[in-house]
Amino acid sequence: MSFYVVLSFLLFGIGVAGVLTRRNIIVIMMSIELMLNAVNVNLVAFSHNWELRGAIDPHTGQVFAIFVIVVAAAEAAIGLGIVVSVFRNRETVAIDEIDLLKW
Amino acid sequence: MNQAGWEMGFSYALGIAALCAGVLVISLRNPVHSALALVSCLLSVAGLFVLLDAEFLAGVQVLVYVGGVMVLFLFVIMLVSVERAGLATGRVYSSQALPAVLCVAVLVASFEVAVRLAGPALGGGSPAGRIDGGNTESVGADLYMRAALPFEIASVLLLVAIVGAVLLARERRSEHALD
Repeated sequence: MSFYVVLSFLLFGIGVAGVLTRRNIIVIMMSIELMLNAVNVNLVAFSHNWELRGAIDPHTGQVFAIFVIVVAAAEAAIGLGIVVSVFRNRETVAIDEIDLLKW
Repeated sequence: MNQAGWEMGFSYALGIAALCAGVLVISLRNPVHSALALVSCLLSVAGLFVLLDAEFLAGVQVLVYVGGVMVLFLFVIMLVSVERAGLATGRVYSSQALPAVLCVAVLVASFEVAVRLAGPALGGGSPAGRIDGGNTESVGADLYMRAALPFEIASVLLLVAIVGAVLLARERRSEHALD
């Protein structure tokens, strides 16, 4: 149990570091997927722990994880659509060159 | 621990594989290589789901993430060519190292606090025993009976996302052609 919590925390930290340090916006979105997966690991680990402890509704964590996957798929579709649109307009996917809204 | 020795070994191996693949995702220069590392990370996590008696979720992970989302990522990487974007030779990292270190440090601290607060609940001594039977039926029952409304909302969300992605990625020229 504690192994899964630590693993999920480390994966989440890697995702945060990727989001904050990378320049390529596509890799940043991959890091977001990494963070969502870390959360899923945590949810499933706690669901398993509940099941072993004989809770009444042990699968709540897994249902949550399914919804996280759904939202991640929607987010990836929208985000990649934005990336394609930005690339078409600006010819770049580096986040420090996409600064139209800065003044 | 409740898990048998080989299960413990498998979960350690898969966890370390997931961590290494995660580090590769954020450190490799070529986004195609990052995507492949992310695929192996997601597959390792799917293996962890199997070890955690969540077989249905492992299948969903492989089908939706590895089969769907990652193919979408690879398509966009191919569409947004690295050479034209000037990322093949330029800097890999933006100059955000200090905020990144600060954020991760805050995360470590809050994790410490959370683990200390949760201490007894997390303690390793979970009751022994494997869970019998498949978990697809029970997860499905939970999904349709207790989470029916969120399920419908999720389907509407996916519909909106499909329409939005098509609208965002559409070429403007085709708009003029339609007019």
